Amino acid sequence: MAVSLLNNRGILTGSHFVNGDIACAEGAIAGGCRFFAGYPITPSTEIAERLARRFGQVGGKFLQMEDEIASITCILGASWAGQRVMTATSGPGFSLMMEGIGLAIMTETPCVIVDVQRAGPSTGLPTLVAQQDMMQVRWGSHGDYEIIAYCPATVQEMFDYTYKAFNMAEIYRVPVFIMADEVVGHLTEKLIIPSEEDLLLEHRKKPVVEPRGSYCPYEPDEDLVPPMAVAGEGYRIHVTGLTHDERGYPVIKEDAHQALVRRLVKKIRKNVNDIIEYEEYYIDDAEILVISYGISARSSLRAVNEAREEGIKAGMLRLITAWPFPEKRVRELARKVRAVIVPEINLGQMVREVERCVNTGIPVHSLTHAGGGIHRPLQILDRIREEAYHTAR
Amino acid sequence: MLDLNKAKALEIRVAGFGGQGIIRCGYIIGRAATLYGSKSAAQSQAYGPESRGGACSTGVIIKDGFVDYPLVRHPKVMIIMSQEAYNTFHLQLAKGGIIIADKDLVEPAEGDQPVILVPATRMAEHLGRKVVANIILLGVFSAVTGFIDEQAIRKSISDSVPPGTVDVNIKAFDLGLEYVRECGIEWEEAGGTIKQDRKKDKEKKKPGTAGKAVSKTAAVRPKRKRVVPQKTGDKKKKQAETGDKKTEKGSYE
Repeated sequence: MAVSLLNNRGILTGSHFVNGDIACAEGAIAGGCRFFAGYPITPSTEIAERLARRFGQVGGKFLQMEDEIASITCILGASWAGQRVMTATSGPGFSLMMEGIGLAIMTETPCVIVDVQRAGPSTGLPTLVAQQDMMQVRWGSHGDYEIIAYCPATVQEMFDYTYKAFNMAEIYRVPVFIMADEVVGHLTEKLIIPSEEDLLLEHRKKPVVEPRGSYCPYEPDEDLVPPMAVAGEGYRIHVTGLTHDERGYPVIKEDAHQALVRRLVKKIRKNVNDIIEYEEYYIDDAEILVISYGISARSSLRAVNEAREEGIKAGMLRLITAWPFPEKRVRELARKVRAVIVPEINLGQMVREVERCVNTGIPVHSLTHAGGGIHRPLQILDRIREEAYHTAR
Repeated sequence: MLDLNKAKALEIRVAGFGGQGIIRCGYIIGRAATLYGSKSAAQSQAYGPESRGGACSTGVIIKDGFVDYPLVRHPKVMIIMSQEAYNTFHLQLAKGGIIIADKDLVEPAEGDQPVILVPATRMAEHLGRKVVANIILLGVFSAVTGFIDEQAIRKSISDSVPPGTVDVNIKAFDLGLEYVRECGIEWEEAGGTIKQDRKKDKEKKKPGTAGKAVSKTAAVRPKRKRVVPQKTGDKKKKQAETGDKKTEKGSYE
């Protein structure tokens, strides 16, 4: 298919009828991504295909690597050379990337990682949907850290949040994840590309001191994010996964580690109000609360709509950022509602986070699915009815 | 914010083998509805690992507002291009729905499901491009249902097919429209039945007219008509194979 309607920055314009993977690739280009390294894997392959084709038109570099370990470390190198970088994969590749993701966190390397989730464990169901990497993205690499993870539910959001992920990665110097799934990735819907004024790019902070001066690559500003010099600008930098001091030198000591790891976590935690995104539906008088995300939120929304038609006061909280988790809001809502239902295409992952936050004694129900399909609205509606019946006063 | 709406969704299923343009057919419908109409559409798909020959199907949901649950479960209209697809999906048809199928590829089960049988692949062969059979069925879909503006589908076809094949595809689409008109096929959505105008049928029996071939090959299965499968099937096939081809060739070119 010919790509038409490009503006002078090579960004697609206008309205299109495309699938989520293609929207993701176009969102990356709009987000300034000009370097992609990856190992194609269903159901994320279309992202790589699209970028391979489109990068020729916008002066980007596309590398097909030998595996996912190489892919993630390759984009980290390119990020240190000043590029806005991305890789895309699915569950099996995501598992392989864990070590490199830890390196990205420790070295504060801006990057975007797309995981179009399919059903596992292992190779599982290559062509079918799941949401089973939600905890892996949070805890999969060793050590303590905070990351940002978006869960797009529509083709439009695949574009919007991939674009946004690049800005967030640059601002916080952290890996940002797009936790999509096979259905959203392969679903074809209308995509409206926002106008150019709405696609502004945030850039990583540059050092203000001279290259030969007193530059410390890991000396944070007030926002806890250090300015980032890139290779070739003349600054002396040392990039290591070992615990390091502000100069970037390895320091194998308790206090250095305390300072570094706490800062890495705190730079995200203190900004949660700017990072966290969610949407609420029929929440004002809701008695039964459905908390969902990604494609599951679309089944849930139908169920909540139908419950309302039956006169049941159901409401929904849709997580857009799964991580950081909107802890404060869930605690608030838990005080208002009588029961919480969490439909997700796994055997209960994000529900653990919900349970942690709901400490008012109300029931929290995990509505699970092992993968290969999505919840039917009726399954969710039935559970809403049941809860409405049992908790009626 | 996802739009909350109570608009009714129209579900469509297109199914057959890989290589018949099944996915493309669904894509054209969705694209026409969204980019050239004012509706929302969500197209999903399922196919085997083979790119040709494996089972292949796509679902399209069209709605006036945001499509929440995006998968097709009980389609109002099905376009079916293989027996396997028919066997898999025909019981999912929504109440009052219709099946549009390729006459030579699908032998419908007994029952009262309204089926419009169109010799699309054969018609496409006469056009010189077997692969446009899907577009002929799309024409039938357009004329019978009227769900999506005809011009919108035309535009959508034009920018969805490989360059250089636009003309033959538009021709195929027109052939589908013409087929419905000539056979006088009408779908009564409320009752879920198909009507075929008998007068028009008669007209077509005039010798030498373009309609003749169409009327013979057209088999619109009326409601509740029971068919003894083996015999009638053979008879029809024979008819199609022997007598019709000559006249058809003349009439379709």
